[in-house]
Amino acid sequence: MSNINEILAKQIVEKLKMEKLINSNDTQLVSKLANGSMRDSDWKVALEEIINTQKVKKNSKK
Amino acid sequence: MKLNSLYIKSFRGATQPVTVEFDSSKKITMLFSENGNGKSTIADALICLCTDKMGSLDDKSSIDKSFLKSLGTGTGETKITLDTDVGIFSTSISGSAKTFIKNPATGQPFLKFLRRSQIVNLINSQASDRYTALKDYLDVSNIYSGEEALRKALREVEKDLDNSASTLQSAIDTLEKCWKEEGSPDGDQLVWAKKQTEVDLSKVENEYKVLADLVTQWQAVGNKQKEINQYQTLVDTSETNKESFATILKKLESSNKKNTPALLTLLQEAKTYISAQTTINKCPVCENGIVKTTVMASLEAQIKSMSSLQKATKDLETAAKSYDRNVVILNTAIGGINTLLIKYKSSISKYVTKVPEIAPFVNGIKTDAVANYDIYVNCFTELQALYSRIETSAVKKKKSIDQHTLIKNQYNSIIQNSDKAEKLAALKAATNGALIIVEAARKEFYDNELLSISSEVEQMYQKIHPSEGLGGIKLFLNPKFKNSLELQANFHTEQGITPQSVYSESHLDTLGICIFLALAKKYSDGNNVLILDDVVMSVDENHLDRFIQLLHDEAANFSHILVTTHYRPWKDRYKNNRAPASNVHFLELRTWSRQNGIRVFNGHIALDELRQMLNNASNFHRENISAASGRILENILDFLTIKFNCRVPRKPKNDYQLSELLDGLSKDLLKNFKVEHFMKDISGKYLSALKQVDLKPIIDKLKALKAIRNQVGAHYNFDGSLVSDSDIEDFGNTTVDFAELLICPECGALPDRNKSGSYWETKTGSIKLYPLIEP
Repeated sequence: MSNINEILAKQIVEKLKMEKLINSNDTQLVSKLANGSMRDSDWKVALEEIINTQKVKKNSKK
Repeated sequence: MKLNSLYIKSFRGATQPVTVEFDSSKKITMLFSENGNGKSTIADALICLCTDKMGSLDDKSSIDKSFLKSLGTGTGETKITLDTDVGIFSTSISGSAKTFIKNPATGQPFLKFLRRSQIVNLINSQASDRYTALKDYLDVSNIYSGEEALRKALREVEKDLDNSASTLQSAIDTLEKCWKEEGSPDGDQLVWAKKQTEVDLSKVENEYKVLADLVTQWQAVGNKQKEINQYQTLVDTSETNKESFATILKKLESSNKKNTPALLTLLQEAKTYISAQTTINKCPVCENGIVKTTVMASLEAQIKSMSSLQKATKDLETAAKSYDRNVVILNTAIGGINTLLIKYKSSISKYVTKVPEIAPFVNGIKTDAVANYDIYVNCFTELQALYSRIETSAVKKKKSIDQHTLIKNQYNSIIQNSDKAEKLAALKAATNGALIIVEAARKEFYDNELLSISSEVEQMYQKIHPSEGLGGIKLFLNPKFKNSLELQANFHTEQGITPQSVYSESHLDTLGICIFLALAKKYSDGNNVLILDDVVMSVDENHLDRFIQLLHDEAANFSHILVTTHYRPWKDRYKNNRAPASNVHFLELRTWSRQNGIRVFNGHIALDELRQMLNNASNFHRENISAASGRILENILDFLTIKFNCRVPRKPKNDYQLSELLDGLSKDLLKNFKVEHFMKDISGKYLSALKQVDLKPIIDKLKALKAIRNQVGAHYNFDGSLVSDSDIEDFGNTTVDFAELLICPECGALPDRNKSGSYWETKTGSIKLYPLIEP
């Protein structure tokens, strides 16, 4: 049985990765999103992670 | 997953333990009974075991969970056990919370169910309620919960960003004010502020520290001085008291020289002495004889007469003690201020050159406390003037330090909040972007799911209602409202109408069933169990046949379908072989009673009816006996000819008549055609051989009597009237004998199992049928 929430969670995470809003190696996001345990703090951590990564890259180029 | 059996004990209508044996080779189980005989109990048992729902009880507006258990049984007695080919699953009701405790706790068979109430809710509800009705199938609430969390994150980031911007603006304003007060140096407030933060203020801070220490010391001296002043007042007061009481005593003494304090003391001591003696007869001074009581009375009288003197003496003593105590306290305070003065003198001695007025203090302070205090009192004016100058200087330096700290803090706040605001702005943009993606993906997913389901529903609906000008089924979310599920269909020339307006009740019923079937199919991987609990109410013959066909077509998408119905035409389609019964396991529930509970039987009702007709001597019904016998024989022979791949005339439909079926049994088969009957041994298994019967003689007899089926049982004709009652009775009894030779007396099933590889046998093992294949 394919869980409808799992299917949609995978689609959403793929789209977020494509838009470079989250890291591609984030494995927890799909399961948390699918089982309804995603909290605001989890979103912030996931979104901040890539912002921080981009900032580090930007600074290292300087 | 294949279902083997369901055991129910003390659950709802199961007042007695009941086991429903499933035929795991059949995809569909039909459970027929009139209402109130336990269909929903069986369906609910599966629902409660496999899901977190309570089945038909969920339809009720208020649920008394006490009635989950059967009447007159304890909560702990309830037990539901499902035996499947992948394991055994069971549940019981916990005593206090009345919740179902599952064993194992997870991994129950995946089960979807549909009841008529759901169809009614789906079709008749408002769009928002329709969404709720389908929530179990299209439930993306977990994703929605994540979406809400993202929305909350966005609100928080926006709030943090606002706070950060506000703090930043406040710091900028404060710094700008300081900058302007300083005359706007360096052309830019941040350049100026940065320079200010780099200024080394350690020297000023040290100077301030010294001055602040002097201020503190002088304030401590001042506080101690206040204490001394208070204590001096107390000393003065107590001294005045002492002198006053001394004067009073002197006056009393001079007024009566005999009554001196010495005499009073003597009398008091004599009284104390005499009262302490147990016996005393002589005066200890003059040795004259005395009487104790007389002497004590005399002493008390004299002491009493001297009470004024006594009081004055006591007052003076108290006043003197108070004075002495206050003097000690005053001297201690003077000692305290002396320590402070010595320290202060040491601290300010470096100023003596610049402030020569304090020289007498600096030079005069030594070790003697009283002398030092006098010097302090004498130099107080000069010392106070010096303090004022020190305090003024300290305040000025403090202001300079505070200003510097303020500029530094504001500058740092601007730098930090600028960085923070930049990060928060990026996070806000990312969060907002993510929210747009999540929301759009959810809606798109839902729309696509509904679209694909709409297509499936349309296909199913067309199978039931072909060429009726109906269809065009469309389910979609109304974008104007949250969770609003619209349903549209076509009606002949009208497109996109609400089907409730024009479709008949039975057409709406089948539409609802198709929607649920499509949803259940959509999310089934072929291993799910589906329960259709009394979903068909009134469907005409043609639509019922098509619906049954649809159900059989869709059965491949599920591991098992349990159909419960009280709709007799549906049952009779199977009973009369009008429906594709080969994939259906047919069960029937008999009348429920609290004493007997739910009673499950296999479909051998027609045989019971024939027996009753044959036993009814007072009303011997020739035609009914002939017809019933014919139907039973056709049913059994249909079974046998299929089992043995017998050759029968080819027909478009499998509507073979008795004669054709009997002739289908070949000579080779009949030579070996026999049954063996067994009875139960002490272990309860059919292991003891009872009898062995060759079937050829009875088949031959039936062939001889077969014409009765048509002549008497089917038509009105002259030949039928010529058939004797005894021949009809013989035909009926032979039919019963034949059926009893083949139908298991326990489960009512024919010998349809091939466990041995050499013969067919009934499920219980009570009957073995030979051979396995036609020789």
